[in-house]
Amino acid sequence: MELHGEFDIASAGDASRALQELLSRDLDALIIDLSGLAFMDSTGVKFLVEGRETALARGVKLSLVHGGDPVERVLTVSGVAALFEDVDIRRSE
Amino acid sequence: MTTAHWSFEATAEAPGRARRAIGEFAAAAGATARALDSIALCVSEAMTNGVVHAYRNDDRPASLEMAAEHDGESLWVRIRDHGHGLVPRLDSPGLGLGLPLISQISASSEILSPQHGGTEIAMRFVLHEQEEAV
Repeated sequence: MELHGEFDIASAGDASRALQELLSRDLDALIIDLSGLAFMDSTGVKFLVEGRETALARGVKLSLVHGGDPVERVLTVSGVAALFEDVDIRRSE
Repeated sequence: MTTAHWSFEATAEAPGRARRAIGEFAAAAGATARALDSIALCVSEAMTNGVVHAYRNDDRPASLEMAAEHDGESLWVRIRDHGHGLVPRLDSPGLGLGLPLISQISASSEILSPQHGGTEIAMRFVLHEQEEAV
């Protein structure tokens, strides 16, 4: 799942529905690519936390491709980055 | 002191519009890339707070006011709604992270309850903010 542009309250609903739909399929793993995001606020944090909860419940391995500084910063300051230490975090090229 | 004022309809698009407006104002004031990131995140959180909490029981058109000023060193932003004040809601689109993020990212911040109602979030940023050394 690739995310582009700015993630805020205007895009959170569509993104969450798309993620939940993907996680309802018979998947073994899902990668969320944050590298195309220019901005993300706490609505994106909630999106990732909810996605992680659903993935864990359904046995889907969730991985992140890291985003740029603004995205990393909100994940770090919110303390949510630590929640993803148990998943396979890849670095984008 | 340079000042500016904006008014936004309290819709889901308001945070993005406010980010672009304050970004232009802060860039013209000489804000660093790090400061621009800080300002964008905090303004987005404050505006989202207003959109989500301020008017949810009202059908009337609502507005969010944003005022900014800078002195070349600091930039102050005030975001005000005219709603019912901050009250908890179980269906919040966030995780309750908005105000803590503002507190962490801005140089200083406070939440005010103006006499005539609503909520005002006042924030200060350092225009020459640099990334913290690792």
